[in-house]
Amino acid sequence: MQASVDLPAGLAGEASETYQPRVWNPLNNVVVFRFMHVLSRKLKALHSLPEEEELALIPAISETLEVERGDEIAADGSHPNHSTVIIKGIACRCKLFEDGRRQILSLQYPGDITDLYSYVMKRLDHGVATLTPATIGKIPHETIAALCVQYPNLAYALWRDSLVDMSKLHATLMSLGTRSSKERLAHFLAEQYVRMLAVGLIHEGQPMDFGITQQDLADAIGLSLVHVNKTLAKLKDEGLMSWNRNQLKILNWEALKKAGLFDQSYLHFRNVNV
Amino acid sequence: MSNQEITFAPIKVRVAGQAEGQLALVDDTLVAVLVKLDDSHGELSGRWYAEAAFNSLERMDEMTFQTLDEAANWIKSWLDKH
Repeated sequence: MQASVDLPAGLAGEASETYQPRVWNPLNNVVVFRFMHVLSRKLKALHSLPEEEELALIPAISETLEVERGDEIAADGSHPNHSTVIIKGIACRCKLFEDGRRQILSLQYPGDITDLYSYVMKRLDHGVATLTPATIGKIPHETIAALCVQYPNLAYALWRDSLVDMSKLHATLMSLGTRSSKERLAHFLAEQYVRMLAVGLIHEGQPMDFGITQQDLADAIGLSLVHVNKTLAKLKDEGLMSWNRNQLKILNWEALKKAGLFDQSYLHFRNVNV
Repeated sequence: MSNQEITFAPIKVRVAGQAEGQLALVDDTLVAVLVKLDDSHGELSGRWYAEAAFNSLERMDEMTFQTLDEAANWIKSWLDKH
C-alpha cells in the first residue's frame, strides 16, 4: 500500500514489505506525511534512523484528530490503547488537584509523543491536554509493539526519547526547587526555543508560535499569574525577549541563557548546538 | 468567622519601581504585604496582590482583590479553615 503514495523529497525508498499497518486510510495521506515529518524529525534529532524506519512510521498512525484549546487528549488514570503524537499546536502533560490547582509537567510540541510510556505502563499517571488548537495523531499500542519487534533501532530511539523526557523532568525539578523566578522563566523559555529548533519548527533567530496563556506559563513554572507577568516584564525590559500576539521572539540568546543558567546538554539533541 | 481583627497600614514597596502597598495585620501581627498592581497588569491593574504572605497564608499570591475589605474577608475565611 505504501508504494502507491507519492513520497515527499528526501523520503524516497522502499517501505517494509513485512510490516502491515492495521489501519490505513489513503485519504489521510497529507496529514500522515506531516505526522511522519514531525515525528521522524523529533526522533532523528535524538538518534539516527535509516529511511526504512522513517517510512515504517508513516502508516503507524491510525487516526488524526483536530482538537480545540483545553481539550483533554488523555485522562489522568486512564488506560489508553494508543499513544498520541502532536502534529500541530501545543499540548501539555499536567496534574490537577481537586481544588483546581494545576502543575504543567512539560509542554508538548509537534513530533512529541505525549504518552509513549502508556504502551508499557498501561495506566496514565498524569493527564494530557491541549494549550492551543491542535492536530494530534494516534498510534495504536499494537503498532508500537510490531514496530519495536521489527526495528530494534527504532525501539532504541523511542527508548531514548523516553529517557530524554526524564532528563527534562530532572531539569524542571531543579528549576522549581532552586532557580529564582527570573532564572526559572529564562530557563523555561530557553528550553522551548531549543526544542522548537531541534524539530525544525523554527530556524535560529526566528520567532516561535507560542499561543499559550500567561496562566499556562505560571502553571508550568510554579509561579503566580501576577508574578509571571512581573517576571516577563523584567526579561522584556532587559531586552532578552518579546512576546506579542502569540509570537515569542528571543532577542538576546546569550543573555537569556545566562539569565536562566541554561545548558542544553540535558536535551541530548544531536542536531542543535546554540 | 473568627473574631481576629484584620487591619491595614500603608507602606511603599519596592517592586519593579515603587508601588503603593499595605501591611496586612491580624491582631497587630504582620501576615502579608499587599501591593496595588500597576497598569502593566492589564485587566488586573488596580487590584491588590499579596507580594508576600506568611505562614499558612502563603497561597494568597494565587489571588487578587478589588478592595482591602475583600482581602480582609479572604484572610479571615482562610484562617478559619486552616
